[in-house]
Amino acid sequence: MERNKVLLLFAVLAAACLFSLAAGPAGWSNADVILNLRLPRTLAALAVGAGLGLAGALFQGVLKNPLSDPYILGTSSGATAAAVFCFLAGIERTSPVFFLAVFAGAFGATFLSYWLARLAGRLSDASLVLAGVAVSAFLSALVMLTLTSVRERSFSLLYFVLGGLYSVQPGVLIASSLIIAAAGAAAMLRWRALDAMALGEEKAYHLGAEPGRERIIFFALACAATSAAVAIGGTIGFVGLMTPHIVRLLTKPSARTLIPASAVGGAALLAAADAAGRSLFSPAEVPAGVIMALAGAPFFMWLLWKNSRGTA
Amino acid sequence: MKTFISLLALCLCAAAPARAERVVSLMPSYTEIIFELGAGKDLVGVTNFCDYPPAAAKIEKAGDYLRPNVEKVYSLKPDVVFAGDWAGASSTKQLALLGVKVVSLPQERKVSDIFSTIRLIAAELGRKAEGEKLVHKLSARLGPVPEKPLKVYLEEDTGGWTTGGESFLSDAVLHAGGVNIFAKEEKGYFQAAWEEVLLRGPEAVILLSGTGKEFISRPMAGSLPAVKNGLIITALDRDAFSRPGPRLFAEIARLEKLLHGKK
Amino acid sequence: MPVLRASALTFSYGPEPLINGLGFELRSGDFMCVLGPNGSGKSTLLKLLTGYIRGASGSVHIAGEDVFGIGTRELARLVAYVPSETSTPYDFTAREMVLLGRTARSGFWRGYSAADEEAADRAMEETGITRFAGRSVNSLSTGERQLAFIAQALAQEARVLLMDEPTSHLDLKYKSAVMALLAGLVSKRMAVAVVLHEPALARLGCNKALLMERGGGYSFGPVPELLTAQRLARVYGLPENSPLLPK
Repeated sequence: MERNKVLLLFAVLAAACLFSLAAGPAGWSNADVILNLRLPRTLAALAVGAGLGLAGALFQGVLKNPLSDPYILGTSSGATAAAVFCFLAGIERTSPVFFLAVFAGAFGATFLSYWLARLAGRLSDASLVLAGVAVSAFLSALVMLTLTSVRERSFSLLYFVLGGLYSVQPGVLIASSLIIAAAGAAAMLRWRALDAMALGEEKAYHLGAEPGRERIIFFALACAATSAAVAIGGTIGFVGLMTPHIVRLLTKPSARTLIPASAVGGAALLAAADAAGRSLFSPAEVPAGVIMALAGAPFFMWLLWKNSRGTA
Repeated sequence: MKTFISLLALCLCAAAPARAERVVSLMPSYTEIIFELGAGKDLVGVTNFCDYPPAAAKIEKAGDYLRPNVEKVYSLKPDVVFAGDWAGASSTKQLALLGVKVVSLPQERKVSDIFSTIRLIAAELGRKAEGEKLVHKLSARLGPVPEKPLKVYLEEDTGGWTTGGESFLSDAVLHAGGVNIFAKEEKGYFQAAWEEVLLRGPEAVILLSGTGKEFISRPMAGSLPAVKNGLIITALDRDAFSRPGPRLFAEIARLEKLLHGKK
Repeated sequence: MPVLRASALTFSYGPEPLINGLGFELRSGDFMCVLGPNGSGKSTLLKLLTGYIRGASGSVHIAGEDVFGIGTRELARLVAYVPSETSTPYDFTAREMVLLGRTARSGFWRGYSAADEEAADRAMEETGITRFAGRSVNSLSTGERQLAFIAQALAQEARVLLMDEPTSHLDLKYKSAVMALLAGLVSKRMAVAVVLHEPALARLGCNKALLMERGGGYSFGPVPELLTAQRLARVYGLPENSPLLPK
């Protein structure tokens, strides 16, 4: 990637951070508010955005499908469902058991979507999206059913499901950031295999990458990043879908640049979305998940339209 | 023989004048009011949320207040159904089309609106005298509003979910000697930005869910006057305070004591 | 020692065998065409040869080793495979695509070495695609794109090259160019097996032929012996005097 494009990417990130630190009813001159209030929240948005952007880039590559992302594949729903069950079981958000359970939920849901799509036929077409939608809908219904039957805490859990960064626990933020960074680093070690997978499983095999193994590795890394993001902010959609597409307009499609650029781009995107959500509608606050869906759903339609014309 | 007896019983019932009313309440607060009016035994259907008084829990459930189960309500053959005019408008319309008498009651935006609700229900049940008695009893509990109201942040659900001036809760806080920091917002239930809460500096905080420990752990919560005053109130009964029914008045009195009792 | 040896390969999708007891040997410098009617299992055979799918019985040996005993990375250094069509939704440039041929020859995490860049440039020169190195493969014509994937296979620097109908979408000029390119590789001691649709193309340099029939029958031998009008007419179900068959 050329140097000026790297600079542009980081300029966008810096602008998003600046917006996130400066936007809010208390203005931009109150150092206390900026340091104690907006800084932790900005860091949370950056971590969640980076995790989701990273997961999106990995899924789109390993599945050779530009319509995949953790939200559409059901990964986020799986993680969210597991998180809700952990809360109800009284497992603390900072405990390793919580992270393991959320990861297991994400991984299980993703493989279920993948397996359903495999049954239905080719992976590169809409069947993967359909399978993901089915898995997501089922898991969301399961969560809703659970929330209706337990009255206590059901509202605060509902808001967790809807996604947002209102309350961030420092312990969770640190643990999740470490997981996301580790997943990103591990993915970078295998960028070449991800590029091979982007040509399809048969081609990947003949280029020297074992498709079955690479699929499990990249699913695991993407699920780790997604579940760490969900642990902080619940279900936030479309960051993983949009970021790699926007980044590809700027950089080469190779995973070597796409992986880090998607993490940086996702971080910038979510920081901006969260800042918009908590400052534009003052005194009310609109969760970042809602802002992302507002922007992401039309984007998804545009992608479908673009794909149907075979110019993706 | 058995069939004959049950047939006979059926005929007798049908022939008897329909004095005993069959009432369905589609709001927990209406259920509480109906019990207070002494008509609890006439209730044949309530919402899933109606759990007070304890006797209400044993009554047939007919869905929740936003989405009542129309078929269930119809099958209970009610003489009258009380519903909030703001919730489930389409289902009340359906019930009306089925020939069920539905009384749509306006949403309470002030504490005094609860008196109108009581009077409307009492009139419908032919218990006007009991209604007036109840209104008299409840309004007597509303003492004079304290002179120096405290700025109050009222959190209904964890995550900044509070209420603006559109809800009777703002007025309830006022009667207890507080001013909702979001009273001027023309909103009902909404999520307030945390920074906004900090900016408006409430002198007391009422939490209807969650824990005081969680609240204090939020960023910069320590800078709030409420925390310095030690006025993080979690002792209110969530249901009693958040339903516009008879129990609210005792909660207002409790809140007043909590807010101003330490003087 | 043969560089590629298949013996007693049997494979079926249903109850009827698609490939039945098939065997052949290729040595360095052999250029084999695989011919046969649609549904005779030509494409399936190539996937059996690389171990991408597993047959019911039989074995494939590459450079003397059982194909299932060779790791995927090692295998990609021995055998390169070009499917009849490769597509990707992402806009890799032709050069990036060719460089991907180096996947099995470079460490997974680091960038491309000077040797990788050289191999890619050489492959692009040999296939004559240097002039659109910087263009997205998705913007190339079908023929140009096919050449880019052949270049990718060349960059693998493998000893065996397997190609599935590389010329099916190409016009006559590209067809002869691809065949000439393959003949050139053979002269550099590579072994090439190519699935063809038209028997006439076999005359452009092939020395061996594998003729596959529907139902699992096959014959293998030198081109002049095997590709007679009589034999082809029987396999393809054509009259012996058909103008489509070689004279």
